[in-house]
Amino acid sequence: MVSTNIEDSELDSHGPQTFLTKYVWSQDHKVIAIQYMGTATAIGLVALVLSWFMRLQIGFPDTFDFIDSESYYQYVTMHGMIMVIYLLTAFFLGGFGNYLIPLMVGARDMVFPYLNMLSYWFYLLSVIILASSFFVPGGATGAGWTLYPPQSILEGTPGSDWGIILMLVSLIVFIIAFTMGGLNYVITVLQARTEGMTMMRLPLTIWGIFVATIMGLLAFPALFVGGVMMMFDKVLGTSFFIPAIVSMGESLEYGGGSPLLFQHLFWFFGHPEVYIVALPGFGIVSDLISVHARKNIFGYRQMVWAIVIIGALSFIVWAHHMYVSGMDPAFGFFFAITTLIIALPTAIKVYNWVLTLWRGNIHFTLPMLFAIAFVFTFVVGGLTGLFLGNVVVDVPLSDTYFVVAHFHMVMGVAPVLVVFGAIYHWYPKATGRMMNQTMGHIHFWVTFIGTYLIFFPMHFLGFVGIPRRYFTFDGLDFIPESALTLNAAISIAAFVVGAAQMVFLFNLFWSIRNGKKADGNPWRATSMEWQTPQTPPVHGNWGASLPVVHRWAYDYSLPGVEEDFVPQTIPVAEGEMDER
Amino acid sequence: MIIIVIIVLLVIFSVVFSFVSPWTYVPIAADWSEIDLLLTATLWITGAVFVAVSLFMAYALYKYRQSAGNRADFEPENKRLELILAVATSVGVIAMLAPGLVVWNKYITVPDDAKIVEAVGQQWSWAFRLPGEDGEFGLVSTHDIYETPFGVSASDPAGSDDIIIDDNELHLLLGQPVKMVLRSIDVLHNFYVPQFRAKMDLVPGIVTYFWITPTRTGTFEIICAELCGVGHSQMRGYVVVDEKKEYNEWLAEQETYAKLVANERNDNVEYAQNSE
Amino acid sequence: MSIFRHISTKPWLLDERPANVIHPGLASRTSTTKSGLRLFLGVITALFALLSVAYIENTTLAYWTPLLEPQLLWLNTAVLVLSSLTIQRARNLAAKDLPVQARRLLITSAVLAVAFLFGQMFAWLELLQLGYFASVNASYAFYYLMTALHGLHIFGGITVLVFALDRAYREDNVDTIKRTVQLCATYWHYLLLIWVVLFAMMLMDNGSILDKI
Ligand code: HEM
Ligand SMILES: [Cu+2]
Ligand SMILES: [Cu+2]
Repeated sequence: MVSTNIEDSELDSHGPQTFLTKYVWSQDHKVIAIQYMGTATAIGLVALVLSWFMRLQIGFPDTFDFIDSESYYQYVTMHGMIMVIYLLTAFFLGGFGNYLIPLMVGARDMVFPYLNMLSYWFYLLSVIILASSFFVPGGATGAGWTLYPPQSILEGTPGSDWGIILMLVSLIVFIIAFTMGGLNYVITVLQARTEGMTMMRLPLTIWGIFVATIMGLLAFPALFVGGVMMMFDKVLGTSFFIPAIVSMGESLEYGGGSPLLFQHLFWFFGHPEVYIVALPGFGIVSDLISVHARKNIFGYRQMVWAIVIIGALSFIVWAHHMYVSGMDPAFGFFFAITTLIIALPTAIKVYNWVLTLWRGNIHFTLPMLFAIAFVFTFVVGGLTGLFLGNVVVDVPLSDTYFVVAHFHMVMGVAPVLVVFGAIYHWYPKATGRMMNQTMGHIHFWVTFIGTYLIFFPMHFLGFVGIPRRYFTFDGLDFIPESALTLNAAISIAAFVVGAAQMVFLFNLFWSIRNGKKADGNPWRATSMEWQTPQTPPVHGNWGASLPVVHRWAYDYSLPGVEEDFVPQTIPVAEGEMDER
Repeated sequence: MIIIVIIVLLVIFSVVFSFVSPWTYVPIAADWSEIDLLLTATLWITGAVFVAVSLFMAYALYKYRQSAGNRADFEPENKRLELILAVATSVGVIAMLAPGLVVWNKYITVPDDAKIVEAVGQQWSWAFRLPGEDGEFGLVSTHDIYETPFGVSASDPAGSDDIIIDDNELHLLLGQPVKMVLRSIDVLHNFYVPQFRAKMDLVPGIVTYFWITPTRTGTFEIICAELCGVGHSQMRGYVVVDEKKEYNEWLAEQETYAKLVANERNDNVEYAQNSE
Repeated sequence: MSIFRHISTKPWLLDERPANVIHPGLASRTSTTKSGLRLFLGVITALFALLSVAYIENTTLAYWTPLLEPQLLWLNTAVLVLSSLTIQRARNLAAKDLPVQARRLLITSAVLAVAFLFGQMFAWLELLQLGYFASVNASYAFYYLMTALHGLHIFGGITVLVFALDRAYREDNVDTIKRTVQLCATYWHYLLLIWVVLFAMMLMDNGSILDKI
């Protein structure tokens, strides 16, 4: 492992000079962050377009020739996988993690900048491999993002030759990339904090990213093992996951394996993965609410504990995805109990967000709007989780549109709203300009209301029992005619929401040149990233000497202080203590 | 400010939608009304929490919006409040979970008087088997599926009276508890009849089960609820719940394994004679 | 229990001073590379632990037939032990400020590790020639999988060793050399440990491992 220890010498702040080392082969965490975000956005757009295709088929069946059963399943699979792994995980950890960790803890860079750079290039490679799987013979895999064997590697599933192999290779490369990045994030938070920055003075954003990264480092190996084993089954003809079966009229050579073993491995990764995209979101939202309500986050310590407890518990709930998978049903008791225990720290987080608003001085800025929309959406998604976690209630609902509605609310829309809010919030730091307000508001209202209209009614389709991952509902008598009308309406909402994202993308580029100029701390926030000597921060972040931290990140509206915020770098005044 | 109005409107929309929505559970046809009850109860409880939290948030947004003289409080934490909220939440969660676990226990405990019926899935169709008079299934081997009907082993005497239904329609007797024994010969599937509420995956290599008691006659669709390849959404079957008389009529028409084997042999003999 | 004490401090009270101030720029005395390596070993542990759970679960199943271990594995194990010993010796020498002597041992150690990899490949060939492909039985599938994953980690270790040491020696800074040798040695010993555990599991595979423990 090659690394530089951070020694605070002036030399360090002389950045790389050529264009190539500055913007392409850069080891600067801010550049790498933006590379991550750009790549994630690009591949995320593909996933968005795929969701339109799916909605075309569901809303207006038999109208579009280019969508057949095979391609529909390919869209479902690629959409799900890209959104969860290549967009959200990469955006939160590779993007925000990279940008914010060194700035917020007061470091000059990540502790292993070279490894950090490699991490991005491996990520890019994994994205390219993934994207190329659309173009190989047979096309991308259509096994569902869960990739359950045996069907993922057997004829009868689209892309069961090259598609699945490329998917597995891409995931393996992604995991390598993530591990390289993750080592950085964790060690930087643990060891590169500047003077005075104790763990308990960290903003919650860092706590969320930090715990999520540790979870990723421990959970991704499960996917890695499962992926390699499946690759063996596919390429070498082993039978890790495949029992004796006949397929398409032929007895296959396989025998003795267990499909359930893969499901356990997958969900041992998959459930923590849900929280890997949720926890950074939790952290960021806490900070957005606090800054824009001009109030300290309510119950900081409980928020930290909740993050840690959720992180730990999420390793012992995985089989709630397998209640009707055919595993020993007695496990249902255990996993239902652990799952509903997680509801408690999660609920406390929601209460604390709302209680932070209470007695605040709420500025309805764009980041605040997104944060409010997040809380609202997350409450819906979290509550529907109580249906699915409660094992017997899950029975009729599992694999229906209720599940689709639930996970889109809780791990699709909610984290995406945080991503947007965070971009509006930190954009002035990264570019020196504000994003355009009008476009921002259009984007916000359409996205917030639109996604709610898309996913809220879907719960009710789930109550009917309408199954998910269905190419067609043709000829199913138990589905009322009206449900098809509803599906068409949902599809239209989905197109409108998609179009609003184009406004956002345009705004992103337009504002770089045309946005209103912002000073170094336009939101008047306390945390360290707003205290850099230059905006945007230059290589080395802090100029000649590292900053010193004197207080936590939430000194807003202190009694007896005229300004309604006191940055972390301001020393404690005489007698300030007595006021608390 | 608009956000407050919108949140209130979305709450109203959600509540109204829940009441007027024509999309709700299909009429139940099995003895799992407890599940419906729990589902409805959970909907009420979570619905109430949703309305309370959202409206409280809207109120907070309204009351503490930015204004000239307004200044936020400094309030790091309030242990008592957090404790009260945590306890209240725990009570709510336990209230939902405890009955859930009781019903789950019932779901996985098959009553002694349940008759067994086997459903076998393959890409992308269903077939069924009844144990016949001896109440026992004969052994099967997946690899023999193309050798003998259903892959039932010829050497196991328990198999000869098994009734093989190589058709996508299964009949069940009204009021008779059945244990559905599930097998797959290729990939994962899931046996799901929305009216029965119950479902379970079919997993190649192992045998899974669930049980129901049909409570209403009629014809219900069996759908597959686990992605199983391109034909997943076309993998349909039917369950017909009959009164005793119709059920027996249907049963009389079905053929046993021994009969099928005999027929096949005759066919082969005929075929051999014809081609001579 | 200092972690618990730490996370229950009230950060809004201003007199909470950090316990160990080692600044500028570093919140802890441990070298970052060392912590990074430890964390990475944690990740590897998760990986091999999950693999072992899957393995042990499989040995209890009916179709499992024990692996016919190539006797060569014993020799390979000995080579890997030797490699660990030499690197440990190199580490001691480097600690005594004898980088040149350490270097010779490091090269020996790397060569031994390469020999181990070749040995593992010969063991594969031996089984393949006898017709024991990965598809024969889960025991063989696991054997190929575990040796391959372990071998890849050894290979990665050798690569890093060669490049990092090359750089360290060119810089000719004794401290850098010391630190690099130390890290490599830790990694080496850990992979040896993993190999011993994997090998032991393979040896105990006739019947349930759980019964034997
Ligand atoms: C407006 C935005 C979105 C729309 C319209 C949309 C729509 C859909 C549709 C139609 C399906 C397939 C349903 C089925 O046939 O079962 C689906 C599946 C899925 N979506 Fe989205 N989606 C959106 C955003 C997201 C986001 C942001 C995420 C991030 C977590 C996400 C994650 C998934 C996953 C994991 C699946 C399941 C894939 C599978 O079944 O294998 N979606 N989405
Ligand atoms: Cu989960
Ligand atoms: Cu299916």
